[in-house]
Amino acid sequence: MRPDPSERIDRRAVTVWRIAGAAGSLLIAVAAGIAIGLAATDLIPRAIATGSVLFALFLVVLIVFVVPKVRWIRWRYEVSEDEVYLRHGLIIRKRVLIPMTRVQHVDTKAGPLLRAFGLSTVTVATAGGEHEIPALSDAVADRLRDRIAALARVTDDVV
Amino acid sequence: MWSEPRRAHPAGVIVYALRYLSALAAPVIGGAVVLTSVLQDARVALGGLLVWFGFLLAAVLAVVLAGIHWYRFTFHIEGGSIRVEQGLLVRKTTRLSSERIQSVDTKANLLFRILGLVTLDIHTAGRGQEPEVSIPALTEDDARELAITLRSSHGRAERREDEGVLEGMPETRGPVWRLSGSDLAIVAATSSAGLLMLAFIGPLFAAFLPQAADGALGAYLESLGGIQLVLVSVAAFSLLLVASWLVGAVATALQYWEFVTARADGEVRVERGLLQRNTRNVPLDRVQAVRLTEGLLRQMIGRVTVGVDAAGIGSGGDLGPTVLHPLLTSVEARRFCDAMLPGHAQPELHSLPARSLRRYVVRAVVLPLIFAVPVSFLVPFGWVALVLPLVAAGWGVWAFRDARWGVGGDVLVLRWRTVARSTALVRRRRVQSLGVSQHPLQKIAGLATLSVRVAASPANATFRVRHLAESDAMDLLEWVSEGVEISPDTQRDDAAEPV
Repeated sequence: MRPDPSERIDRRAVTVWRIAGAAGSLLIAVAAGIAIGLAATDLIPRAIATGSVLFALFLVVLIVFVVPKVRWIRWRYEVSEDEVYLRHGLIIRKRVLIPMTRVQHVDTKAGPLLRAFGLSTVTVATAGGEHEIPALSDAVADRLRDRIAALARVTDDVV
Repeated sequence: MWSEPRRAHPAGVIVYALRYLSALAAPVIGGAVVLTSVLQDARVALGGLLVWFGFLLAAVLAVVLAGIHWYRFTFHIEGGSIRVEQGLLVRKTTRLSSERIQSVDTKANLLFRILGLVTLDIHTAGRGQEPEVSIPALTEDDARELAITLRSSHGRAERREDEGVLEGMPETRGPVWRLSGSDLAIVAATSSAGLLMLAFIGPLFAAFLPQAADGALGAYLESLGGIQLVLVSVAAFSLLLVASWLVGAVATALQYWEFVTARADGEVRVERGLLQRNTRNVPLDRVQAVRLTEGLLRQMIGRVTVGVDAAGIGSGGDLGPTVLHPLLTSVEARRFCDAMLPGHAQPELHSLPARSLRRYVVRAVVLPLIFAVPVSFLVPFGWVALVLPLVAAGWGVWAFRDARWGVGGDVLVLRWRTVARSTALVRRRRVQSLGVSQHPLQKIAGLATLSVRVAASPANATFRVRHLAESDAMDLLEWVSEGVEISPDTQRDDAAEPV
C-alpha cells in the first residue's frame, strides 16, 4: 500500500483557520441572539432557545477549536518527479494523485488573512480541474510552485 | 483558389438575418406590448398600425444588417493559416494557423440542404462550445475543398503522410457504420427525450388545468364518482405519457436520421440529421474517454450507445459525450470500438466485494425512507409511498451488481449505474487526476470510493465507482502513478471481512 505523502502544510494554518472559524462564529452568535430574543418575548418556548444556544456553543467549539487542528493533522502532500500526491479530508478522507504530465499550470495565491501570516495557497491546474494545497509559508509555496512548473514543463500533450 | 479574399455564398445573408431577427424579437415584441397597452384608450387603429410598422421595421433592419454583415465577412488562406475579416461596427480580423485547428465541422438546415449549402465551423482547442470561425454559407464542394486545404497545409496532414495515408480527409476510406431504418425506429422508440419533454409539458399542463376545470370539462369531472375520477385521471396521464413519448421519438428520429459513422485517417466522422444535417469530426488524439451507455429500455433489448468524451472541440449538440453510434449489441460495440477507437480494448472486469452491497442499499433507501415514513402517517392511503423505499432498495442491489472496475494495459474501465448503466474506458495518459476517498464507515469496512477526472468539453467529466475494496483503490493509485499491472485483491474480499 502506498505510504502517506510526506509533507505537512504550515503549522500556522491552524491559527488562520481558527480566525476564519471565529468570524463564522459571529453568524452563529447572531442566530443564538435571535433565539434568545424570541424566547424573551415568549414567541418560542425557553427550552428550544436553551437548546439552540447550547447547540450554537457546540458549533463554535467545533469550528474554532476542533476542526482547524484536525484539518491540519489530516493535510499531507508530496511532490515527486512524476506526480503530485495529496491526502486530506476531515471526515471523508481523500487521496488525490495528479500525474505531473497532466499539470497545465501552477499558481500561488493568498487572501488578506493568509497574507497577514505570510502564507500562500498553491493551486495545481489540470485540464480536468484544479487542486489546492492550502496555507504554505510564502517561501515554501514559491519554491513548490516553481518546482512543479519546472517538472511539468518537460512534457507537452496535456490533453 | 483560396488565396484571394472571398465572401460566403449569398445565402449566408439568411443565417445572419435569422440571427438578427431572434436578437430583435424580444425588444420588438416587448415594445409592441407596451405600445398597445399605452394606446388602448386612443384610437385602436393607430396602435395596431404602429405595431405592424414596428414589426416591418425590425424585419427590414435585420435583413439590411445581415446584408452588411455578409458583405463584410471575407476569408482567405494565407501561408498555412486562414484569415477571416468580419464585423459591422467593430472590425475583427482572425488569423488561425491550420496546425491549431482541431476539427472542421459542417451543418446544414433544410433550406441549405435544398440549396446544397453548408455552414462550416472551425474549432480550436481554446474555445469550448462555440466555433472559433464560422463561415455562414458555402457550397458543399467548396466546404469539402476548404477542409482539405486547411488540413493539407499543416501538421496533421504531414503526420498522416508519414503513416502512408494521403492528405485530406472528407473522403472516407476506413470502416463505415450506418444506422439501418429499423434500428433508427428502435433508437427513436427507446429514447428518453419524451420523458424530458414531459418534465417541461407537465407543469404547463398543470398550469392550464384550473382554467379547463371551470368550463364544460369541470362540470364533467364533477359528475364523476370516485373510482371513475381515478380512471379518467389515469387515462389522461397515460395519454400525456404516450403523446410526449411520441413527440420525443419523432424528435430523436429527426436527429439520428441517416446516422453514419466513418473512420477516416486520424478522425472519426459522424453525419446525422434530417432537418438539420450535421457533419462532425472527432480527432482520435482528442478522445479522452470512451463511454458505453445502456439506458433502461435499450439495456432490456441488449443495446449499447457508444460515445466519446473529447476535449477542445465543440460538443456538437449532444448534452453529454459525443454519440458515435446510438444502437449496437455488446458484440457489435466491441467490434465498433476496435475499428473506430484504437487503444481502447476492454479488459476483464471485476465486481465489488459482497460487503459493499449493504452500503449501496442503505445509500439508496435513506432519502426515500425519510420522505415516505411521514407521508404514510399524514396522508390517507399514504402507505402507498412505502413502495418507494422498496423500489430504491431494489435499485441499490441492481447498482451494486452492475458496478465494476478493471485494468488492462493502459486502459482503466469503470462501470456504474445511475439510471442508465455507464461504462467509461480511460487510457492512463488521459487521467487528469485520480482520487480515492473514504468516509469513516467505509474506512472501517475497508472500502473506498474511486473517482477519475478527465478533460472534456463542454464540461469536464468525473467517473466514480463507490465502495471498491480499499486495497484495490490504492492499487489503482499505483497504476496511475507507475503504470504497473494490477489484479483485484481477493484476500481482502468476503473471507476477510472485518466485523
